[in-house]
Amino acid sequence: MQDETILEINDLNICFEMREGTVNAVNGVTFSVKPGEVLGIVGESGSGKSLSARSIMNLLPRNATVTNGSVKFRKNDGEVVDILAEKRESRKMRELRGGHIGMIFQEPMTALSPVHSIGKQIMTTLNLHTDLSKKAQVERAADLLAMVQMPKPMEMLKKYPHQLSGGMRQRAMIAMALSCNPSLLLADEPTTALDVTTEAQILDLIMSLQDELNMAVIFITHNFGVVAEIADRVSVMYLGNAVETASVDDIFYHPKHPYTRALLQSIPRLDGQKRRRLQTIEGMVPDPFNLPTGCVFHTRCAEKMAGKCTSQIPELTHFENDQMARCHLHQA
Amino acid sequence: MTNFHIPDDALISVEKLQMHFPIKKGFLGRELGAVKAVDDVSFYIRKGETLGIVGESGSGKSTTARALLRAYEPTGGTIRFKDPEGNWHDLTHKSEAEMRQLRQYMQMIFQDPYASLNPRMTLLQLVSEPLVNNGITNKSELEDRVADLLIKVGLRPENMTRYPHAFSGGQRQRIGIARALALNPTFIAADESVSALDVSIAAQTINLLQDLQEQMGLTYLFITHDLSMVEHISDRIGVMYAGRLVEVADTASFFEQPLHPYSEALLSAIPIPDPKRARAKKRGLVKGEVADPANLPVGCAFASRCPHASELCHMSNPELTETAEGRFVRCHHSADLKLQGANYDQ
Amino acid sequence: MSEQTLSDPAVEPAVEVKENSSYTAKPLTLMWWRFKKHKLALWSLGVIIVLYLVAAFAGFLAPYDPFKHNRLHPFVPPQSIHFFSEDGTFQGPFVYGLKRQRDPNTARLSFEEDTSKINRIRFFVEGDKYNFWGFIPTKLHLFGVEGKRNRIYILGTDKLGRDLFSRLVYGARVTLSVGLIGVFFSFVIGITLGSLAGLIGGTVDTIIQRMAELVRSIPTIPLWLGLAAALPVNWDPILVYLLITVILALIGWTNLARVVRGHFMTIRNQDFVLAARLSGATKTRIVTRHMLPSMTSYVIAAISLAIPEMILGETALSFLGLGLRPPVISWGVLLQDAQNLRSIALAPWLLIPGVAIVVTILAFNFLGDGLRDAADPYQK
Repeated sequence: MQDETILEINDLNICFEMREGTVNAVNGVTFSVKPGEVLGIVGESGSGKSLSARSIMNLLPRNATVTNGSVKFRKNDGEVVDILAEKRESRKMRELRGGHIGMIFQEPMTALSPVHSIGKQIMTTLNLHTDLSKKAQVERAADLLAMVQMPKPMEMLKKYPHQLSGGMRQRAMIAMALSCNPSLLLADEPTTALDVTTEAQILDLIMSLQDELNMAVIFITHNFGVVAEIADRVSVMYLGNAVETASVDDIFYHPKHPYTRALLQSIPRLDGQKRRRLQTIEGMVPDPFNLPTGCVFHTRCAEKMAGKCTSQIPELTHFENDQMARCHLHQA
Repeated sequence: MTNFHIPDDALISVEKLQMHFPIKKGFLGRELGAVKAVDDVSFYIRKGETLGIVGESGSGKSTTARALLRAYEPTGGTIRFKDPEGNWHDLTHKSEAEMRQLRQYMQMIFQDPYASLNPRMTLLQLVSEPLVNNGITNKSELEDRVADLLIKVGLRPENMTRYPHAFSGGQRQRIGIARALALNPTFIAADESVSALDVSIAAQTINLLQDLQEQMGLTYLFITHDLSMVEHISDRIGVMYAGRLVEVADTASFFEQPLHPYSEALLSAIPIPDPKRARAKKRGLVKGEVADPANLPVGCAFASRCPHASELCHMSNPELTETAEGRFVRCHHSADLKLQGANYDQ
Repeated sequence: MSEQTLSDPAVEPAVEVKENSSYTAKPLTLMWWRFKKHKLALWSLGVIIVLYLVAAFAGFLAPYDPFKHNRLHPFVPPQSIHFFSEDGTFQGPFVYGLKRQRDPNTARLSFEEDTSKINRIRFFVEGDKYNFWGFIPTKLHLFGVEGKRNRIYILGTDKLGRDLFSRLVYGARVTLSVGLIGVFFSFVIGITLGSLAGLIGGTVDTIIQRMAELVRSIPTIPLWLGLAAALPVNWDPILVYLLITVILALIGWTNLARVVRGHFMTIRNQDFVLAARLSGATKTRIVTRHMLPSMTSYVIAAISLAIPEMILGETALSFLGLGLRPPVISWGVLLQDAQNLRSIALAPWLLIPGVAIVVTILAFNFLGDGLRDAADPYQK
């Protein structure tokens, strides 16, 4: 594992056994995160972005198996944990989850217990990972709620999740995820279910907290706008492949992979141009049970080279500035 | 009758539309109050144009669209629609049977491509249903017309015997569009029709809708929460907040200079898919939470979140007024405010 | 990036993903595919079919007339079937003869195998007269033993020496049909009231719901007791049988009504129903073409779960002596014989009807579970 990274995923392969057959949901995903860096992972549905994130927590669905690859995490004290080598419920995994890696989800109700108050839930986490006294725990919980800009934190401690609005619940979940000063925050579509104005508030909050606590963030989303606002580096996923990874500016201004380019052109922008026709990506996302041979994008790619793209899986090509893309166009 | 002039080329005019849902509780269902899902909404749509309505969840935008087609019984106001012969119909006083007649001109495309297609019907049955309901029963004629419709929306007619589960979300949305087009309508309400789709598929669908509009001279009411989408497709834009229309304007002037503080807040909140502009963006314009339509304040619903709110705003609810031709705003202070639009070139 | 070819409108690619037969499969076919995956339910379906076949061909399957006493053979334990005689020679299926003994102290009769007498089992034999399906007089039985005076009691006999197997087979007719007929009545009441509540809503809904809650809140056993006690003892058993099913239905409809109402309520607000309305469908068409087909599978599942309740209800009533009474034979009536400890200690085989009931109830419950899972084949 390289010294300056906090998380490294290497050649990760995950498949699913389903009634209809086997789905290769993640195929050789490789990326790393540096401390204090925001990595955005963008992709359409079925791209395997959430699954990759869940492997970091060692919380894959029961019917998923990792067929290859590794996920390594460096703790603050320098110890490197090989996450996939650990048992799902091992002591070390439980210490990592919540203690070193925080996670927030799209739907806070799945992470928050409906029968315990917000304060109680934060204190349970504190109890597990710290040895604060009861009184100190209450104070810390109130501080956390203040930190995520919840009004009247002392009162909020006594509230139950259903008494809060969607945005407030998301804040409560962030407070819980941050309770033990994690060095990595996993955010899986945390703003997708929210309204635009609430989304803006939550994004601002995550950005300011990231700055303040200097933690690394992996932010999963399907929204390029959100990525442009929040990410330092971006990984674009398509059908279980990380097709391109680069700094946010390189992704938006110098994309190397045809999929990234096509995707960027297909989003409507506020550009004042009337009735510009949207560029589209031809066709549909292929059936996951029946992945195309060669490059998975060749069925929809406008720049595909007959023979090559349809038969050979492209290698990861490295460019300057840490940009990587999986495309035959850039291979000598 | 109305406090604004309805242009001659209008196809639909809505005046003071009101849709209140009673809140019932207890053993005998006592009425405790009402959710004012839509309250005092007035607008018109010109023939052949696209009116985009934006708003957050609970703003009443979908309810407005549904009430327009009389999917709900509006509790107040009038909706008028001009049929292709040029006769105006007051939809609020039509019986269900009369509405059935008029609905061949007015159709809807739904948000959820999964819930809006009966899973137990084949493509043929789904798309031909409007035709069957309007008296076409000849089997081969139905098949021919369905095939034409499917080709029109970019689906392959040989798949007519398949059931909806054989299709992806994007394809299902096309099935919904084909069904809406079956009776050659003049007006289509698209309720968040691309929100559930992936980026690349949404783009295909939007292009399809625009092509169809050109070919068939359709008039659209396009409901969405996505401002970039609405900017792309609409000629005019209406902004809804807590069941009320707070601003109506043509697209260009709206994005250049919004008149309502909520519009400004919305514009500042949209994530911009451009890192440099995103970094330069003014942040933190919106505070607080969306107002609850079951418990609206006396005054302006946005007052508690508005940086420009005065005593007056908390006391009285402003009326939607026409400040310039075709520009409507519901704000006491719009004349004095200089609000920030979306900055295109930076 | 090169300019993309924008076919107008973008047509889906001609290369299709693998042709899948499920794409054009009818809803019922999909349900069957899904149901097949539920192995337990599939087996249960088999068991239930066998049980009803047994009931249908009771006269043929039962070796003896279920009412025929045999004073010489009270409390005969189940006889085991042998293939080899004591000396190890193959004889084909047979049972040994019965040896009567009387305990010198208690004067109690007991039976033992008389290994010197071999009674071979014969198939398609002539025996007691019965009317096949009520109108074809015949003497043919599936099996019996050689010799006019010899008997085969594979499940033993009761205190009057009646063959328990024959009685069990005949009892299946009553018990299993009570389930069906009772469910039919409660289905009619439940569907009618449930649809009224779900379709009309408002006050009608409130009234029907409160009615259902009232019925459900009455303690069932005392209600049964009261209603059953109101039936005069000297009535025709067939009439009593019908009335018992009606009583069971009067109590059992609430669950079905709730299921039906719930589905009408949910489906009513589904987008596809609104879509049908907007495309000009009349109310009748919406209900018959869109709403009912979406819920029939759920109703069938609910029915298959309601049948065991009916059966249990009949059994309980009859067991308590309030439902069907001898001479009618039902599994509940048969269990009456096993009411006291003495007879259980003496003749534990009298509990076999209980086993039959448990098997039936479990089979129906598993089947219901399987049907419920398969009811919506479109769920992911």
